[in-house]
Amino acid sequence: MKRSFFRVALVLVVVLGIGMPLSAHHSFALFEMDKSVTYVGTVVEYHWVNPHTHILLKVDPAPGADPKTVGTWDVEGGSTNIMGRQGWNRTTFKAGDKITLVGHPMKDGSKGVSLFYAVLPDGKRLYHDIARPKNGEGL
Amino acid sequence: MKPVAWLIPFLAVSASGCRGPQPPPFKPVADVKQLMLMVVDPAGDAIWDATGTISTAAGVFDRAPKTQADWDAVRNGAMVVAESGNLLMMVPRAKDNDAWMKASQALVEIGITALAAADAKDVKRVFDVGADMHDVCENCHERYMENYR
Repeated sequence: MKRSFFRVALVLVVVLGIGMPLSAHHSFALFEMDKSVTYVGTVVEYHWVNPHTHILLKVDPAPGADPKTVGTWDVEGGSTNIMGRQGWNRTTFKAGDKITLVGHPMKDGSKGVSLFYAVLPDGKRLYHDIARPKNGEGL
Repeated sequence: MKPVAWLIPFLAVSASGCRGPQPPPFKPVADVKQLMLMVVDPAGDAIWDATGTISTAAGVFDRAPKTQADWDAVRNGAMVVAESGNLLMMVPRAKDNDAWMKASQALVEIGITALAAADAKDVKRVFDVGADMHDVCENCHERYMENYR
């Protein structure tokens, strides 16, 4: 019972507090695809789902951190097919992991990001999709 | 009356008989964008939202239909996706007679595949079909959706 309540509370926090700003399937026109921002934070939730994977990332204020990145972000990846081809899977991340993500913020300033790549502990990049952004810029 | 005038009524009847059945009186209501937002996307969600893995502070949870009603929701979504492919092929929604038709047929086929996965109550297949369905959607959007990227 306690656990169920926790789950419901967590869902409410996510839905009301952070929000999933995007409909299920949409265009990339919502994002500033020419702008890449680095987010260093803690995984709140990792969703290995379709049509888009999601990472809810909490960025706390820290020395040297860009204040504009502070907050909790819904970082959206591709489908599990697209991400799987790049090496992602259902256990790539878990809640509590400290990670670094690079992505393209939403044009309207809301806390949504289109994932570009994650930086793994060994420094390697795990891309959302090697085909993005256009012409492989920034790879 | 001229000698051949009596033939005219018979020729008229004969000509109308050769016309064959008239086109069905379709009356498409939704444009493509409305069809996507109001029909295809919610139906896709019924398939996509049924499976997947979510890691939270409370643990790792695998989503799966549990009750018959849950499976029926996936089946209904699959059927709507399949038939939506047919709706997209109708005038005036069809954009061309080539790639558009192939993309629409792909939607029909992925809907049928999803329906089979739901009928088999196979969670992994529903998940995999959902990923493939995204590819079907994206392949079409890349070509036809304005400002997709």
